[in-house]
Amino acid sequence: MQNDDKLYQLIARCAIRDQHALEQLYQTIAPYLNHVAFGIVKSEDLSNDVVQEAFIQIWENAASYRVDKSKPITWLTSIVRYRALDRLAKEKRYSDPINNDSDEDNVLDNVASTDRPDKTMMRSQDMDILGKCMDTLNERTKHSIELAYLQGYSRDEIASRFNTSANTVKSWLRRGASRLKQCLEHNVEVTS
Amino acid sequence: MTDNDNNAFEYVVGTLLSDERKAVEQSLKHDEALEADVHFWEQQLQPLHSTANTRQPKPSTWSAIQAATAPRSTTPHSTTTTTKPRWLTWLPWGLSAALSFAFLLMLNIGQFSTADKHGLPIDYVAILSDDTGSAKLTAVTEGETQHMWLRWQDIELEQDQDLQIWALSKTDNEIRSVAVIDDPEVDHIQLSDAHWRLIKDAVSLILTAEEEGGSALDEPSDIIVAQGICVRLSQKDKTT
Repeated sequence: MQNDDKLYQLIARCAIRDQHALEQLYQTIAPYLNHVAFGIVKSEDLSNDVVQEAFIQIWENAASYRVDKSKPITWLTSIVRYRALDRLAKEKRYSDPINNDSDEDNVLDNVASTDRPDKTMMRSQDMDILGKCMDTLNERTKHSIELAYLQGYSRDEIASRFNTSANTVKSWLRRGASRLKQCLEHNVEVTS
Repeated sequence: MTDNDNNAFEYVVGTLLSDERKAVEQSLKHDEALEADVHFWEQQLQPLHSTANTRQPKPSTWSAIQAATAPRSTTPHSTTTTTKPRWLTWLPWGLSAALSFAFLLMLNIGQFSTADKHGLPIDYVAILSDDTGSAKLTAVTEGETQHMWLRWQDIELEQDQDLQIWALSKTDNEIRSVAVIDDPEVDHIQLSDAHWRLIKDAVSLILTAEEEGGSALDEPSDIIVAQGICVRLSQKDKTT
């Protein structure tokens, strides 16, 4: 896997319509992005459609990418996630993910862990901080955020899983966000 | 947390209802604070993904992307009313020719990696955007030839104005002129050694509108057309 500089170089070259750069970017990052998309749409065909749409969007929008606003990997992942969420909403195809425990466990097992040798481009410091802050949340809230972010669970689906109402889930998420933000901002200040 | 914070979090996490999501997307077009909140959560939650986890896409996916992004005689952008400069139609081909030459040159001197063999041996790139975030100029420099390639997008100037590119130094924080652009169709400029050093030392580039011939005071006017940070792409430090 490549580092941020390499990804930025490839995005910049896409901005000047270098198709070989797009191909290199695809070879470098598409398997990871396909994993992200699959986690949300849970279909091989749909995740490939999402990756296809996302790369066309990356090509079209490369010139407007701002490295001062977003790291390359974040920009690329966000494009894929939003396309996947759009597709999920359009297809209304939830394929009963709540009962699909094996898939879910796989996805959650793959959440970046702080006690695993890092062979990725993610900065270990970022992982440490997020992991530490996620651990300040109660298990229910933490799990809700992971189910939503990594698997595209809706409030209703999370509510069903925890046998509660969607409004309660909304409260969990928002209280969790508030706590998480405080923790993240505090830790960023401490480490900077 | 404000409503913006909450909406930004749920937008990024993906739990907003369809109508709520559309409302946030609409607000993102003009609400910079909301945009900043969304960027915050995108950045902070990104480490939940491990990039070591992969799933190989189907071979047909790349074929479809390739077909959709291949050069065409008419592009989706051609539906805009803005007339594009003539050179934009041949710039990719001109660049290809120039880069092929550069590629061969680099191969000969053994400095070009296999991974980049079809690519652009660029050393520095800056994407200059206006205050709405719209990209106005992509500037790419290549150290071997000290060329700066320019790709313009929809810049309107008064008849008695020229454009001027400035470099903000990371060493002394001074702004110095790199080039005055009197031809709005120029696709590249040849940098002198001194100007090349300015680029190497630049933290960002600034594009201003100036009176004809460039700033008489040798400092940028208040009419900043676009600006953007300058990023070094090559890991090797080339001597000049």
